[in-house]
Amino acid sequence: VSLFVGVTVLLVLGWVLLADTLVKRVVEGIGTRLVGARVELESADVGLFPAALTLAGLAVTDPDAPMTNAVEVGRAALAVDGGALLGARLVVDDMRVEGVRFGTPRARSGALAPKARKPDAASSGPGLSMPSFDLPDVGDILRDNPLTTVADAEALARDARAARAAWKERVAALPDKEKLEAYRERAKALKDAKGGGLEGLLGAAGAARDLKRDIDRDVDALQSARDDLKADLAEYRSRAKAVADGPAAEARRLADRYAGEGLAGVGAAFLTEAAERWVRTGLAWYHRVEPLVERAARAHGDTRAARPLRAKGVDVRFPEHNPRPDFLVREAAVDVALKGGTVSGTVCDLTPDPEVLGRPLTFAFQGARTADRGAVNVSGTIDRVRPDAPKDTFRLRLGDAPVRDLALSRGGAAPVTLARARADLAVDGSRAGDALDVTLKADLSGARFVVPEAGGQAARALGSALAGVRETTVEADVTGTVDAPKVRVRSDLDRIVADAVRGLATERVKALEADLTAAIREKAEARLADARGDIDALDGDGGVLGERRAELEAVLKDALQGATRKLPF
Amino acid sequence: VLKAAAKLLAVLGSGTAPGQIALGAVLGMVAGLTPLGSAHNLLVLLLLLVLRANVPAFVVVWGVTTGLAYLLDPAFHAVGLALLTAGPLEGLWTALYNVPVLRLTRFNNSIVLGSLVVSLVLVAPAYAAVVWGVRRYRDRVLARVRSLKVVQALRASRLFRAVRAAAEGMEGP
Repeated sequence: VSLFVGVTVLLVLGWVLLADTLVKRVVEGIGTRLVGARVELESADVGLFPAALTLAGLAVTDPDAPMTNAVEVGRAALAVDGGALLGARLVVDDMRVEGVRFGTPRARSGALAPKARKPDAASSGPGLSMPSFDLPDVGDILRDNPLTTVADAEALARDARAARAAWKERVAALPDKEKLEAYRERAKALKDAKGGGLEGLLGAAGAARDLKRDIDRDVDALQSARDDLKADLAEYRSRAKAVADGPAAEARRLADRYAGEGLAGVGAAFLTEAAERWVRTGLAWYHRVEPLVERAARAHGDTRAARPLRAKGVDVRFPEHNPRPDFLVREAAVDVALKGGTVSGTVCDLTPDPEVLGRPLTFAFQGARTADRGAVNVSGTIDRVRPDAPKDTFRLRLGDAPVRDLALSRGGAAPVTLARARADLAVDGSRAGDALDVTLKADLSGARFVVPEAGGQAARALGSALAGVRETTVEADVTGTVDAPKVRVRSDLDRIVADAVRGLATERVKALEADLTAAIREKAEARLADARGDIDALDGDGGVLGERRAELEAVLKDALQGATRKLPF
Repeated sequence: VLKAAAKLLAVLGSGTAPGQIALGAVLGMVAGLTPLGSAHNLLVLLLLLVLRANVPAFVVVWGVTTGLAYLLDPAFHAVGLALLTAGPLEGLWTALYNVPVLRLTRFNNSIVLGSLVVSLVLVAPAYAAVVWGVRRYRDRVLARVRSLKVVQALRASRLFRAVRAAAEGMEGP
């Protein structure tokens, strides 16, 4: 028994002496696994009576920048519920976190071994590429776009051909040479008729009247047809002119469109790149934090099996009379040291078992405006009370915050830096299930953008355009899912930058327009020539109708003169 | 463990009761098959010392079965999970789960429970097998081995005497 007591005492002494080191190793191990980069702790101090834990010098490496700490914590003091420890639960009633700083430099790299380090999308990115003005090939444009000019030429040729056929039939139905000759015969007979007294005179007058009526009717028919033909000709000639002018107009429209596509979003491009980078980084940290607030679990009726780790088995949870999470930080008071002053806040109900606790994690931080920093107000919830239906919210307000040397576009042809500005920023975000809905609005004043001129002509144009921008508004929406977010950025910088850069493309656009005009004209020309042939033929039909009308009128005149001479009065 | 194995061989040839050796072996089996950090192993340690079980047997069997346990983990997990999720036992587990101190035993872990149940089931047959084996070894093998001249020479050496003295010191308080 004495040996047993001795061993037990040794174990207890070992625990007391080694507990600090053990906790330090556990914190570093779990942190490193969660973050994917080295997490280091200067010291841990475990107290048993009362149960407490103090951590000092916690440094969390930024996995995207291993020579920088994403977060550094000066001191964290935890008051632990000793009674809960007997139930194998770690419940932190009160937690004080002081000296939290972001982005501090590291003396040595915190990267893990290369094989353990996953490539992170947040660190990649091609940088902003300025538009190259490589407009598409004329052949490609003609192939991809149905040409209205050619279609109009084809329709005109088809219609003119049909009109010509219709007029051919109509002209055939009108008085022709044969009928004209018949009228001449009747007029001649009228002139040659010998006088037969009053009866003869009356008969000649009647014949003359009949002849006049017939000729007038045919003259009217010819005139009507000629008028109709004139109208048709006017229409076809107008269409032919439109088709002839079409290639230039259509080429201008297409060239503008492709040039516009090439230049579209030039202004927003570097903002979008920056927004996408920030969203990727934010979501990467969000995913790293998620294991702290939810636990992978599968249900077995009322029981649950959690933490399925290899060679560790699974812990099956059973219904509890008084359910409490295995790990819980009821309230953590956090002081974040920022340039210009401290931002303080609280994090409540941090637990990987929120469905047991029945309350979501909430956080709220505030910092008043100082000379070097704007007012800060951040709050939100991470709700995993129903693990199958995550429901998170986030709200950030920055008032009159100074911005300095903010890299908007890191690489590419034109790296853009916001050298200085004051910003009013409002971000409202939510997650329901996997769907993201985030809106951002930033009003910048006193802005100064910097674009190195080494980027070439386009970069100089961009820099020149941004040089005059002092105030601007940027709005962004993030939709999609947490795994595939979609970022859309709008800004009045779009127009400013696009106008400046568009000037550089003018010569190429004009050359494209000329090539397109020639190509479209060539395609439409054959159809237009066919149509013009038919239109000219119709014009010829109009001449024939005019001649016939004149001849008919001459016959009528001649006949009427002959008849008049015979009258005795 | 190798040192303990040498001592165990010495113990097998000594007058130590087979029951003591078997008790040390089965306690070592329980401690070895179940996760070392489990609370019930404190009880195993207490039994080892209170019941005057043979320590070299405990150490050797613990070493062997610890290695074996890694291979058997999937089976332990399956057994433990089946028991923990068995409908008729749910009331029992729920009642135990609601006793705070019992949760420190991690009985609700599939491998802890599975390995403990399997090892407890094996206690009786293993005990009987070890007692039978020790007796048979002493009756049939040991007499023949001792009659060999080489062994007689070895037994007469200082080294053997030193090892034997050490083994007797480890037989228990």
